Amino acid sequence: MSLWDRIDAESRPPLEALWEAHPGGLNGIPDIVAR
Amino acid sequence: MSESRAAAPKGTFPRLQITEHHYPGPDGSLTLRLYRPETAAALSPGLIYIHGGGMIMGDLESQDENMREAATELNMPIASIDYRKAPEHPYPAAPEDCYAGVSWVFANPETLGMDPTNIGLMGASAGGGLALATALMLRDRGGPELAYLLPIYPMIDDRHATPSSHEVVDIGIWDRAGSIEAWGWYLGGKTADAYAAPARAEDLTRLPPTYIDVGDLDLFRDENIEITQRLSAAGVSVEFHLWPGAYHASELFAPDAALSRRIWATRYAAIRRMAGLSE
Repeated sequence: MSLWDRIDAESRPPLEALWEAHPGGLNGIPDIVAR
Repeated sequence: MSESRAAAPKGTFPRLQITEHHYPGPDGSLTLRLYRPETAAALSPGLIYIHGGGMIMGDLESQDENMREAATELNMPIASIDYRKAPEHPYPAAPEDCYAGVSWVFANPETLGMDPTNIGLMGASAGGGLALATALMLRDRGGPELAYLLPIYPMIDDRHATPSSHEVVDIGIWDRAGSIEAWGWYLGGKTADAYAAPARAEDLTRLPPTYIDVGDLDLFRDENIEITQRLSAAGVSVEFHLWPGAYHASELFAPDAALSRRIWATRYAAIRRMAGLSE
């Protein structure tokens, strides 16, 4: 089971929305200071 | 010298007085935002809060709504303190600022409506690491005595050697690559000591009663478990919760999830217990 599969179901939607806006989540923003 | 100004509440917490106070830090003025319930006693148990943001981002505003809710829920004044961030201000700027903020609170309890014998310190993520660092500094420098400590999923280990620090690479909130990068900015080329990375502290004795929680999908999971064990072995009273299904700061990203409500309710109960209030 992957880490993603273990995420609490109700806590997952905001994370999915973040990935939709920024593929890779915060990792998708190249300069961490810009986060 | 302090000055305060009223900040108009913008949420749905009409029973709070919110003021800002400015005080001297090690390198210029710092700001504290006080959330004081109108129904709290004149000298109430109090809480100091340090926000998170990986040592590189975040400010008082980023936790404003959570502070309003917490002060209302706990019916106690909360002093949210700010600090300088990397990379412009690398270590030791942040913990020294936090030390100054906590010291100022203890020196001005009547201004803040806090009983100086019953003040706790809480922080999340980077703020949790800074809470632990500040507690170590207070102990080592003979500073005021904290009643209790809540480092919430604290950022405490620059080494990234634990299993969870290798596992969490693609959740997208606080993953290995970003964490290593942030620690680099924070340390600014310095070697980490106990105040930079409290996991490196060899002496964890004489710290106040402590509450720690972390998600089992959090990069900080194993370093938090390890320091909990070490605190307990050092004779510190510790309550620890490992939340299955929680990623880093998931209770902030998904505040309406039942899991998030359980997390906050458990923290509030711990604060009430450690402050000597009825749970």
